[in-house]
Amino acid sequence: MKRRLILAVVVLVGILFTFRGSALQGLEPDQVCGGDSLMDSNLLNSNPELLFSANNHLNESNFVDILKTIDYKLLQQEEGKLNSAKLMTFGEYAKIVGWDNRPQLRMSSERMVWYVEFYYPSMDHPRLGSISDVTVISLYDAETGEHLGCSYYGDLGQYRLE
Amino acid sequence: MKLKIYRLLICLVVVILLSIGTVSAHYHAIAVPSSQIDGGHFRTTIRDLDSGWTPYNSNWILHAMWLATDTNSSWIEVGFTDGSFQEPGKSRDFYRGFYCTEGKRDSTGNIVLYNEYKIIGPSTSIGTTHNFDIQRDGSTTWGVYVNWNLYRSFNHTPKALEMHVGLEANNYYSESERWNEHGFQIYQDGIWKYWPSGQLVKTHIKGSIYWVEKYKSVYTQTVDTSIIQEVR
Repeated sequence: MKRRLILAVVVLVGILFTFRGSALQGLEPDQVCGGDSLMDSNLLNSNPELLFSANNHLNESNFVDILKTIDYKLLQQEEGKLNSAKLMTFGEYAKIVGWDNRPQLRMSSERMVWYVEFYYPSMDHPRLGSISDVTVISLYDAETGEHLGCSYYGDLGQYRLE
Repeated sequence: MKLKIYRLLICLVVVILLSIGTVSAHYHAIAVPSSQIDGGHFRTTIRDLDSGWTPYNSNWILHAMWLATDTNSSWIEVGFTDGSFQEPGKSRDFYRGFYCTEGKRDSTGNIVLYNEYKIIGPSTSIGTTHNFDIQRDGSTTWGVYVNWNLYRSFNHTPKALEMHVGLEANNYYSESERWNEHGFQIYQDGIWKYWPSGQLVKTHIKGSIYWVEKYKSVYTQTVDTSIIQEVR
Protein backbone atom coordinates (compact mmCIF):
# COMPACT_ATOMS: atom_id res chain seq x y z
CA MET A 1 0.00 0.00 0.00
CA LYS A 2 2.78 2.39 1.00
CA ARG A 3 4.72 1.44 -2.09
CA ARG A 4 1.76 2.33 -4.33
CA LEU A 5 1.27 5.60 -2.51
CA ILE A 6 4.93 6.57 -2.96
CA LEU A 7 4.83 5.58 -6.62
CA ALA A 8 1.73 7.68 -7.12
CA VAL A 9 3.43 10.69 -5.50
CA VAL A 10 6.52 10.26 -7.71
CA VAL A 11 4.38 10.05 -10.87
CA LEU A 12 2.25 13.03 -9.81
CA VAL A 13 5.29 15.21 -9.04
CA GLY A 14 6.82 14.18 -12.37
CA ILE A 15 3.69 15.08 -14.33
CA LEU A 16 3.30 18.37 -12.48
CA PHE A 17 6.87 19.53 -13.13
CA THR A 18 6.88 18.33 -16.72
CA PHE A 19 3.73 20.36 -17.34
CA ARG A 20 5.15 23.50 -15.72
CA GLY A 21 8.46 23.05 -17.51
CA SER A 22 6.73 23.16 -20.84
CA ALA A 23 4.57 26.17 -20.03
CA LEU A 24 6.85 28.70 -21.69
CA GLN A 25 7.54 26.49 -24.66
CA GLY A 26 3.81 26.14 -25.22
CA LEU A 27 3.15 29.86 -25.53
CA GLU A 28 1.69 31.12 -28.73
CA PRO A 29 3.85 33.57 -30.65
CA ASP A 30 3.45 37.23 -29.76
CA GLN A 31 2.16 37.99 -33.19
CA VAL A 32 2.02 41.44 -34.61
CA CYS A 33 -1.30 42.73 -35.86
CA GLY A 34 -1.77 44.95 -38.82
CA GLY A 35 -4.28 47.76 -38.84
CA ASP A 36 -2.72 49.88 -36.10
CA SER A 37 -2.41 53.48 -37.20
CA LEU A 38 1.05 54.94 -37.30
CA MET A 39 2.37 56.57 -34.17
CA ASP A 40 2.38 60.34 -33.92
CA SER A 41 5.17 61.87 -31.85
CA ASN A 42 2.88 64.79 -31.05
CA LEU A 43 1.06 62.41 -28.73
CA LEU A 44 4.13 62.14 -26.53
CA ASN A 45 3.93 64.31 -23.43
CA SER A 46 7.39 65.19 -22.16
CA ASN A 47 6.05 67.27 -19.30
CA PRO A 48 3.30 65.13 -17.74
CA GLU A 49 1.38 65.89 -14.59
CA LEU A 50 3.39 64.97 -11.49
CA LEU A 51 2.29 61.91 -9.52
CA PHE A 52 4.73 62.46 -6.65
CA SER A 53 4.18 66.03 -5.51
CA ALA A 54 6.61 68.34 -3.69
CA ASN A 55 6.79 67.75 0.06
CA ASN A 56 10.10 69.33 1.04
CA HIS A 57 8.19 71.74 3.27
CA LEU A 58 7.23 68.90 5.61
CA ASN A 59 8.98 68.23 8.88
CA GLU A 60 11.43 65.30 8.94
CA SER A 61 9.12 63.46 11.34
CA ASN A 62 6.74 62.93 8.41
CA PHE A 63 9.25 60.76 6.62
CA VAL A 64 10.08 57.09 7.01
CA ASP A 65 13.40 56.42 8.71
CA ILE A 66 14.83 54.16 6.02
CA LEU A 67 17.79 53.17 8.20
CA LYS A 68 15.38 51.32 10.45
CA THR A 69 14.14 49.20 7.53
CA ILE A 70 17.53 47.84 6.48
CA ASP A 71 18.28 44.21 7.32
CA TYR A 72 21.78 44.68 8.74
CA LYS A 73 22.19 40.98 9.47
CA LEU A 74 21.49 40.14 5.84
CA LEU A 75 23.77 42.93 4.69
CA GLN A 76 26.57 41.46 6.79
CA GLN A 77 25.87 37.95 5.47
CA GLU A 78 26.14 39.25 1.92
CA GLU A 79 29.35 41.10 2.84
CA GLY A 80 27.67 44.34 1.83
CA LYS A 81 28.44 47.70 3.34
CA LEU A 82 26.20 50.69 3.86
CA ASN A 83 28.25 53.61 2.52
CA SER A 84 25.77 56.38 3.22
CA ALA A 85 22.11 57.26 3.58
CA LYS A 86 20.87 60.79 3.08
CA LEU A 87 17.50 62.44 3.05
CA MET A 88 17.40 64.84 0.09
CA THR A 89 15.17 66.21 -2.63
CA PHE A 90 14.61 64.17 -5.76
CA GLY A 91 16.30 66.96 -7.73
CA GLU A 92 19.46 66.45 -5.68
CA TYR A 93 19.23 62.68 -6.15
CA ALA A 94 18.84 63.03 -9.92
CA LYS A 95 21.88 65.29 -10.05
CA ILE A 96 24.05 62.83 -8.10
CA VAL A 97 23.13 59.87 -10.30
CA GLY A 98 23.69 61.97 -13.42
CA TRP A 99 20.14 62.25 -14.75
CA ASP A 100 19.25 65.17 -17.01
CA ASN A 101 16.93 68.02 -16.06
CA ARG A 102 13.83 66.60 -17.73
CA PRO A 103 10.97 65.31 -15.56
CA GLN A 104 11.80 61.83 -14.28
CA LEU A 105 9.47 59.20 -12.78
CA ARG A 106 6.75 61.89 -12.74
CA MET A 107 8.24 63.03 -9.47
CA SER A 108 8.64 66.64 -8.36
CA SER A 109 12.27 67.68 -8.02
CA GLU A 110 11.17 69.01 -4.62
CA ARG A 111 9.91 65.65 -3.39
CA MET A 112 11.89 64.25 -0.45
CA VAL A 113 13.62 60.94 -1.10
CA TRP A 114 16.21 58.73 0.51
CA TYR A 115 19.55 58.28 -1.21
CA VAL A 116 21.05 55.03 0.13
CA GLU A 117 24.43 53.87 -1.13
CA PHE A 118 25.77 50.35 -0.66
CA TYR A 119 28.93 48.57 -1.69
CA TYR A 120 29.11 44.84 -2.41
CA PRO A 121 32.33 43.01 -3.34
CA SER A 122 30.02 40.60 -5.16
CA MET A 123 26.29 40.26 -5.59
CA ASP A 124 23.83 37.87 -7.17
CA HIS A 125 21.47 40.13 -9.09
CA PRO A 126 18.20 38.57 -10.32
CA ARG A 127 18.64 40.08 -13.76
CA LEU A 128 22.37 40.51 -14.30
CA GLY A 129 23.48 37.37 -12.48
CA SER A 130 26.77 37.37 -10.62
CA ILE A 131 28.28 40.85 -10.52
CA SER A 132 31.22 42.24 -8.59
CA ASP A 133 32.77 45.38 -7.14
CA VAL A 134 29.31 46.94 -7.14
CA THR A 135 28.26 50.32 -5.84
CA VAL A 136 24.47 50.47 -5.66
CA ILE A 137 22.46 53.62 -5.12
CA SER A 138 18.90 53.00 -4.00
CA LEU A 139 16.03 55.45 -4.32
CA TYR A 140 13.23 55.48 -1.74
CA ASP A 141 10.26 57.78 -1.55
CA ALA A 142 10.75 59.34 1.90
CA GLU A 143 7.06 59.82 2.68
CA THR A 144 5.92 56.28 1.88
CA GLY A 145 9.19 54.38 2.20
CA GLU A 146 8.54 52.78 -1.19
CA HIS A 147 11.59 51.47 -2.98
CA LEU A 148 11.65 52.92 -6.50
CA GLY A 149 14.77 51.41 -8.00
CA CYS A 150 18.54 51.43 -8.13
CA SER A 151 21.56 52.55 -10.10
CA TYR A 152 24.43 50.04 -10.29
CA TYR A 153 28.05 50.83 -11.04
CA GLY A 154 30.94 48.36 -11.27
CA ASP A 155 31.84 45.13 -12.99
CA LEU A 156 28.32 44.17 -13.95
CA GLY A 157 29.04 41.21 -16.22
CA GLN A 158 27.92 40.67 -19.79
CA TYR A 159 24.22 39.86 -19.45
CA ARG A 160 22.62 39.68 -22.86
CA LEU A 161 19.14 39.17 -24.13
CA GLU A 162 20.15 36.07 -26.09
CA MET B 1 15.11 -0.73 3.48
CA LYS B 2 12.76 -0.47 0.49
CA LEU B 3 11.10 2.57 2.02
CA LYS B 4 14.50 4.27 2.29
CA ILE B 5 15.17 3.58 -1.39
CA TYR B 6 11.83 5.08 -2.36
CA ARG B 7 12.50 8.16 -0.23
CA LEU B 8 15.89 8.50 -1.89
CA LEU B 9 14.25 8.14 -5.28
CA ILE B 10 11.75 10.89 -4.52
CA CYS B 11 14.54 13.21 -3.39
CA LEU B 12 16.48 12.44 -6.56
CA VAL B 13 13.48 13.19 -8.79
CA VAL B 14 12.83 16.48 -6.99
CA VAL B 15 16.50 17.54 -7.26
CA ILE B 16 16.59 16.72 -11.00
CA LEU B 17 13.37 18.59 -11.65
CA LEU B 18 14.51 21.61 -9.69
CA SER B 19 17.80 21.73 -11.58
CA ILE B 20 15.89 21.73 -14.88
CA GLY B 21 13.98 24.75 -13.62
CA THR B 22 16.99 27.06 -13.67
CA VAL B 23 16.94 27.39 -17.44
CA SER B 24 16.34 30.82 -18.94
CA ALA B 25 14.01 31.46 -21.84
CA HIS B 26 13.54 34.32 -24.22
CA TYR B 27 10.77 34.69 -26.70
CA HIS B 28 10.77 37.85 -28.67
CA ALA B 29 10.81 39.44 -32.08
CA ILE B 30 13.76 41.37 -33.39
CA ALA B 31 13.84 44.06 -36.03
CA VAL B 32 17.16 44.98 -37.55
CA PRO B 33 16.30 47.90 -39.83
CA SER B 34 18.45 48.65 -42.86
CA SER B 35 19.41 51.99 -41.34
CA GLN B 36 19.58 53.22 -37.78
CA ILE B 37 16.49 54.23 -35.82
CA ASP B 38 15.48 56.93 -33.36
CA GLY B 39 12.76 55.08 -31.51
CA GLY B 40 10.35 52.22 -31.14
CA HIS B 41 6.70 51.69 -30.24
CA PHE B 42 4.43 48.80 -29.32
CA ARG B 43 1.12 48.25 -27.63
CA THR B 44 -0.14 45.43 -25.44
CA THR B 45 -2.84 44.40 -23.02
CA ILE B 46 -1.97 43.11 -19.57
CA ARG B 47 -2.87 39.46 -19.13
CA ASP B 48 -2.08 36.89 -16.46
CA LEU B 49 1.62 36.83 -15.68
CA ASP B 50 3.08 34.74 -12.89
CA SER B 51 6.79 34.40 -12.23
CA GLY B 52 6.32 31.79 -9.51
CA TRP B 53 8.32 34.09 -7.25
CA THR B 54 8.85 33.13 -3.64
CA PRO B 55 11.14 34.78 -1.06
CA TYR B 56 13.52 31.90 -1.75
CA ASN B 57 14.04 32.29 -5.49
CA SER B 58 14.85 35.06 -7.93
CA ASN B 59 12.24 34.25 -10.59
CA TRP B 60 11.01 36.94 -12.91
CA ILE B 61 9.09 37.18 -16.15
CA LEU B 62 8.45 40.27 -18.26
CA HIS B 63 7.06 41.68 -21.48
CA ALA B 64 9.15 44.53 -22.83
CA MET B 65 10.72 46.50 -25.64
CA TRP B 66 14.50 46.80 -25.89
CA LEU B 67 16.43 49.24 -28.05
CA ALA B 68 20.07 48.37 -28.66
CA THR B 69 21.77 51.74 -28.82
CA ASP B 70 25.34 50.98 -29.87
CA THR B 71 27.55 48.29 -31.33
CA ASN B 72 28.44 47.13 -27.81
CA SER B 73 24.72 46.38 -27.22
CA SER B 74 24.07 49.03 -24.63
CA TRP B 75 20.32 49.23 -24.27
CA ILE B 76 17.20 51.07 -23.13
CA GLU B 77 14.19 49.00 -22.07
CA VAL B 78 10.62 49.55 -20.96
CA GLY B 79 8.00 47.00 -20.03
CA PHE B 80 5.95 45.17 -17.42
CA THR B 81 7.43 42.65 -15.01
CA ASP B 82 6.38 40.18 -12.33
CA GLY B 83 8.86 38.76 -9.85
CA SER B 84 12.16 39.43 -8.21
CA PHE B 85 13.32 43.04 -8.09
CA GLN B 86 16.54 43.72 -6.27
CA GLU B 87 16.42 45.86 -3.15
CA PRO B 88 19.86 46.06 -1.52
CA GLY B 89 19.94 45.68 2.23
CA LYS B 90 16.71 43.72 2.18
CA SER B 91 15.71 40.21 1.25
CA ARG B 92 14.86 40.05 -2.42
CA ASP B 93 11.93 42.31 -3.22
CA PHE B 94 8.87 41.37 -5.26
CA TYR B 95 7.50 43.76 -7.83
CA ARG B 96 4.66 43.53 -10.29
CA GLY B 97 4.31 46.53 -12.53
CA PHE B 98 5.89 48.76 -15.13
CA TYR B 99 9.62 49.37 -15.14
CA CYS B 100 12.44 50.71 -17.25
CA THR B 101 16.12 49.91 -17.40
CA GLU B 102 19.21 51.04 -19.18
CA GLY B 103 22.54 49.29 -19.47
CA LYS B 104 25.77 50.79 -20.70
CA ARG B 105 28.65 48.63 -21.84
CA ASP B 106 32.30 49.34 -22.44
CA SER B 107 34.06 48.37 -25.66
CA THR B 108 34.59 44.81 -24.40
CA GLY B 109 30.86 44.31 -23.80
CA ASN B 110 31.03 44.55 -20.02
CA ILE B 111 28.14 46.36 -18.40
CA VAL B 112 29.51 49.29 -16.41
CA LEU B 113 26.25 51.06 -15.57
CA TYR B 114 22.79 49.61 -14.98
CA ASN B 115 19.73 51.62 -14.02
CA GLU B 116 16.59 49.74 -12.95
CA TYR B 117 13.61 51.83 -11.84
CA LYS B 118 9.92 51.25 -11.29
CA ILE B 119 7.35 53.14 -13.32
CA ILE B 120 4.49 53.99 -11.00
CA GLY B 121 1.24 55.36 -12.36
CA PRO B 122 -0.29 53.35 -15.20
CA SER B 123 -2.97 50.84 -14.24
CA THR B 124 -1.60 47.35 -13.60
CA SER B 125 -5.03 45.74 -13.84
CA ILE B 126 -5.53 42.77 -16.13
CA GLY B 127 -7.27 43.78 -19.34
CA THR B 128 -5.86 47.32 -19.47
CA THR B 129 -4.07 48.27 -22.69
CA HIS B 130 -0.88 50.32 -22.71
CA ASN B 131 1.36 52.05 -25.25
CA PHE B 132 5.12 51.88 -24.85
CA ASP B 133 7.49 54.26 -26.60
CA ILE B 134 11.16 55.00 -26.59
CA GLN B 135 12.08 57.99 -28.70
CA ARG B 136 15.23 60.02 -29.15
CA ASP B 137 14.05 63.55 -28.48
CA GLY B 138 17.37 65.38 -28.14
CA SER B 139 20.78 64.93 -29.70
CA THR B 140 21.64 62.11 -27.29
CA THR B 141 18.55 62.20 -25.09
CA TRP B 142 16.11 59.31 -25.20
CA GLY B 143 12.68 59.50 -23.58
CA VAL B 144 10.86 56.48 -22.18
CA TYR B 145 7.09 56.88 -22.39
CA VAL B 146 4.16 54.79 -21.15
CA ASN B 147 0.76 55.84 -22.45
CA TRP B 148 2.41 58.88 -24.05
CA ASN B 149 3.75 60.21 -20.73
CA LEU B 150 7.47 60.64 -20.13
CA TYR B 151 8.76 58.59 -17.19
CA ARG B 152 12.51 58.47 -17.72
CA SER B 153 15.11 60.16 -19.85
CA PHE B 154 18.47 58.56 -20.72
CA ASN B 155 21.60 59.73 -22.45
CA HIS B 156 22.79 57.30 -25.10
CA THR B 157 24.35 57.38 -28.54
CA PRO B 158 22.37 59.30 -31.19
CA LYS B 159 21.08 56.26 -33.07
CA ALA B 160 19.73 52.81 -32.19
CA LEU B 161 20.60 49.69 -34.14
CA GLU B 162 17.94 47.15 -33.19
CA MET B 163 14.54 46.92 -31.60
CA HIS B 164 13.35 43.84 -29.72
CA VAL B 165 9.84 43.23 -28.38
CA GLY B 166 8.52 40.29 -26.43
CA LEU B 167 8.68 37.95 -23.51
CA GLU B 168 11.64 37.11 -21.33
CA ALA B 169 11.96 34.91 -18.24
CA ASN B 170 14.84 33.57 -16.21
CA ASN B 171 13.23 30.23 -15.37
CA TYR B 172 10.78 27.60 -16.60
CA TYR B 173 8.27 28.00 -13.79
CA SER B 174 7.03 31.40 -14.89
CA GLU B 175 3.86 31.50 -16.89
CA SER B 176 2.28 34.06 -19.13
CA GLU B 177 -0.94 34.19 -20.98
CA ARG B 178 -0.58 35.39 -24.54
CA TRP B 179 -0.16 39.17 -24.38
CA ASN B 180 -0.29 39.68 -28.11
CA GLU B 181 2.17 42.55 -28.35
CA HIS B 182 1.26 44.50 -31.45
CA GLY B 183 1.49 47.76 -33.36
CA PHE B 184 5.27 47.45 -33.63
CA GLN B 185 6.72 50.58 -35.20
CA ILE B 186 10.09 52.25 -35.57
CA TYR B 187 10.92 55.96 -35.62
CA GLN B 188 13.29 56.69 -38.46
CA ASP B 189 14.29 59.85 -40.32
CA GLY B 190 11.75 61.88 -38.35
CA ILE B 191 8.72 59.70 -39.08
CA TRP B 192 7.09 56.61 -37.61
CA LYS B 193 7.01 53.54 -39.85
CA TYR B 194 5.59 50.07 -39.60
CA TRP B 195 8.22 47.61 -38.52
CA PRO B 196 10.18 46.15 -41.40
CA SER B 197 10.65 42.41 -41.67
CA GLY B 198 12.36 40.87 -38.70
CA GLN B 199 12.49 37.53 -37.02
CA LEU B 200 10.79 35.81 -34.14
CA VAL B 201 13.21 34.16 -31.76
CA LYS B 202 12.71 31.59 -29.05
CA THR B 203 15.78 30.52 -27.18
CA HIS B 204 16.60 28.30 -24.27
CA ILE B 205 19.99 29.31 -23.04
CA LYS B 206 20.85 25.97 -21.53
CA GLY B 207 18.30 23.85 -23.31
CA SER B 208 18.92 21.24 -25.93
CA ILE B 209 16.92 22.89 -28.68
CA TYR B 210 17.24 26.19 -30.42
CA TRP B 211 14.73 27.25 -32.99
CA VAL B 212 13.88 30.25 -35.06
CA GLU B 213 10.63 31.12 -36.74
CA LYS B 214 11.00 33.87 -39.27
CA TYR B 215 8.44 36.54 -39.84
CA LYS B 216 7.60 36.95 -43.48
CA SER B 217 6.47 40.46 -42.81
CA VAL B 218 6.19 41.48 -39.22
CA TYR B 219 3.39 43.95 -39.37
CA THR B 220 1.11 41.78 -41.48
CA GLN B 221 1.00 39.11 -38.79
CA THR B 222 2.16 36.26 -41.00
CA VAL B 223 4.47 33.84 -39.32
CA ASP B 224 6.47 31.30 -41.25
CA THR B 225 5.67 27.97 -39.66
CA SER B 226 8.89 26.29 -40.68
CA ILE B 227 10.94 25.56 -37.63
CA ILE B 228 14.66 25.05 -37.61
CA GLN B 229 15.81 22.80 -34.81
CA GLU B 230 19.38 22.38 -33.81
CA VAL B 231 20.51 20.09 -31.04
CA ARG B 232 23.33 21.80 -29.22
